[in-house]
Parts: sequence; structure tokens; C-alpha cells
Amino acid sequence: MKPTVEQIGDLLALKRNERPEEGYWQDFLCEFHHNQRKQAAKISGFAGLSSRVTDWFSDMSPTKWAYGAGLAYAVATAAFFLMPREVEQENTPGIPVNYQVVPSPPPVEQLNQLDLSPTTQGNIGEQVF
Amino acid sequence: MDLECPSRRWSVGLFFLWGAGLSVCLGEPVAVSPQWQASFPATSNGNPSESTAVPVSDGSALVVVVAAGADAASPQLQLGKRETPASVIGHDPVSRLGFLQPGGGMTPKSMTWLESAESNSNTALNVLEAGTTTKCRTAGWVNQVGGKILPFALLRVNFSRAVPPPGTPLLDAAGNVVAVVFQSAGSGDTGYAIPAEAVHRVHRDITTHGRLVRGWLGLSLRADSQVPKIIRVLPDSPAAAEGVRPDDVLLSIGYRQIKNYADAANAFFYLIPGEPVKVMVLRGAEPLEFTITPTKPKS
Repeated sequence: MKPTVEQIGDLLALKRNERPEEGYWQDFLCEFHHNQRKQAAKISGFAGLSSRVTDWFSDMSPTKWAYGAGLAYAVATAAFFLMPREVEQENTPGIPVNYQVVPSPPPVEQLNQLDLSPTTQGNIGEQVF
Repeated sequence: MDLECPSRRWSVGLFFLWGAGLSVCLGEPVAVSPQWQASFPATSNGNPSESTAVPVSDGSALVVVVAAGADAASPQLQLGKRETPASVIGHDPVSRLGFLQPGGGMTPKSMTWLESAESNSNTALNVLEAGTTTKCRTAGWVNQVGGKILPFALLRVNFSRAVPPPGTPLLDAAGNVVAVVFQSAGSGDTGYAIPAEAVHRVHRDITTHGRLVRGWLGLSLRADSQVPKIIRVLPDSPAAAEGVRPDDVLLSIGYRQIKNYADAANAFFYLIPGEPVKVMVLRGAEPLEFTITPTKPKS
């Protein structure tokens, strides 16, 4: 059954009085911009990269910004204290490493015969007399 | 004195000549010139060697030093430049000493030997070489060379000239043989000499047994130990029978003081089977003395 002209007029009057919810336009706008950036992110190259970075930062809430700033401050402070200082290194007197490889002494041998040639080998360890 | 007279002038000259000769004779030791020389051919992988041959105390034999690698059984003996037949009485490979008997009716003149060179470890001696006398000086005992403990201690000798050949006798001021040269120490004019007591020790066994027979106590020590501590006392040994225990530290054997393992090895060389010897040990803080009679080594 087709609506009558009166019914259509009533419906239009009703629609005229309809209003979106509070913040609807704000959300709509955000969603619109978000979709717009997503489209832009698909663009390759430096423009796309910067767009993604901008997108990432824009997604962060103020709380995350505060955490990030605190973390960055902590890293900077730690780097300041841990970084070796060139001035101190220059002032530190160099200590030469003085070492020599001392070979282990040869085992003491008991010669059974009076032969002092270097190749002569005697007995080592326990000797019975 | 009137020296214008020719006969008196001759008399004075002869007097001074006689005095000079007398002073020379008194200043140098009177000894038999060691004109005996022995040479030994090389063994299959060895080297030939030569030695001066020195008459022993009773003149019954000549003692020579046979270097390692030389054939001690085939000596060639010379008296001056004259070859003389010789027979081998015996050779001890431990001390490298050999004893020869000259043949052909030749009898070597005896020389006087000291019983021990103990008191001559730091004294001036005379080297009797080819009829001439030079000076040398002993510089203590050597009982290990290059980390190798010797079977018995040698005398270190500083010579005024090159080290004389092996077997060359070293005499004290009275002409007694104190030691015979063993070999050069390797550098300079320093050499090693075999002391008289080692020659006596070996000669005694060579003449009676034909070989050196070591005295055996049944004690074991570690060659690398700084302290002459007894590691084990073998069961059924002379030392065990007298009550020597492991961990006892040797202080002396006979008249020889023991300060380290090398001293002990030297003292053990002079032990004679069947002849009691006093052995002092330190057990804890208590010194103990034992009289132990060595036996022949158990095979």
C-alpha cells in the first residue's frame, strides 16, 4: 500500500525535528579524518612514511605522551651519567700491561747415569733407594 | 867475598842455580806425570772419546773416564806415544769410570789419592796435564744440572786455561789426587770433576764384583720434592726393619748432611751393601737416629 500524501508530510515533519546525538559530528569528523589518513598512508615513499608517523602520533592520547616524555627523560639522564667522558679518559694515566708468559718448569729428573748431554732423560717422580 | 876469582864466581853461580832449582821443586807438587792416555771407539750411535788414565792408589789399575756413546770395552792405551796393550777390569756406566790393566809387563806407578774431596770443595788445586802443572780452583759441589739430578755430586772447577781432557787428575798442594776431570761445564773455563771418594767407591766394587753394587735401604722419595721427605718405606726393607716411617724427613746419611732430594741421592750413591750407616731423620719435631745396614737392591 502506498503512503498517502498526509503520511509523507507527517514523516518529513518528523525527520525535520530529528537531531544527531551530542558529539555525533565530532566523531564523524574524526572518523572522516582517520579514513582520510589511512588512504594517504597507502601512498608509498617518504610522503607515506611521514603520513604514518603523523598518524601514529595523532593516535596517542595525552597520557601516553606523558609516559613517553618521562621515558625519554629517563633515557637521557641515564645516558648522561653512563656515557664515558673523554676528559677523564685523557687524564687517566695509562697503565702498561706488564706480563710475561712463564713456561712451566720441566719436571725434575733423576739421572741413572752420569750423562750431561741435553737429550738425556732421567726418571721423574718417586725414586726408590 | 872476592868474586874476582873465576872459581869462586863459578861456585856462587852454581849455588844460585841449585837454589833456584830447589825452590822450583818445592813450589810444585811432586807427582807422577800422567802420561797414560786411553781412547775409546764410538758405539753404533755414539762418539769416540779420549781420557787421561790415572794410576789408582796401589798402582794396580788405571782409572779413565769413558764418555757416553763410547765403547768402554775396546780401549787403546798409550804410554806417551807408545801403544800399550790393555785389558778392561771393569766399567761403571753410572759414574762413567773405567779401570784398565796395562799389559806387556807395564806397571803404572802408584799415586796418592785423598779418601774424600769433602774438604777441598773450595780450594786451589793443581792440574797435572802432559807433564806440566797449571792452576785451578774448586767452586763447590754440583748435584743437579739443568733440572737433572746427578747420581752423585761433582766438583765444579774453574780452570786457569781451557778445561783439560777427561780423566786429568787434580792435585792438592801435597800432590794427592783430589778429583779427576769429568767434562766441561759447557762454557768458559769451568768444568766438572769426579771426586776421589766416587772413584774409590766404584773401584772397590769393580775389583770385587766386576760392577757397581748400590746399597739399598728401601726408602722412596720424590725427585721433585724440595724437602727430603720419605714418601714410602718398602715392606721387608732394611729401613722398615729399623722403624723408619713415611713422612720422616732425612737429616743426614752417614757424615753427609741432607738438605734436599739431590743431597739424598748423592748420599745413597755411597751406600755399601752390608756396611751399617747412621741415618738421622726428623719425625714431627723429634730427631731420631737409626743405624741401618743396606742390602743389595731387590730385583
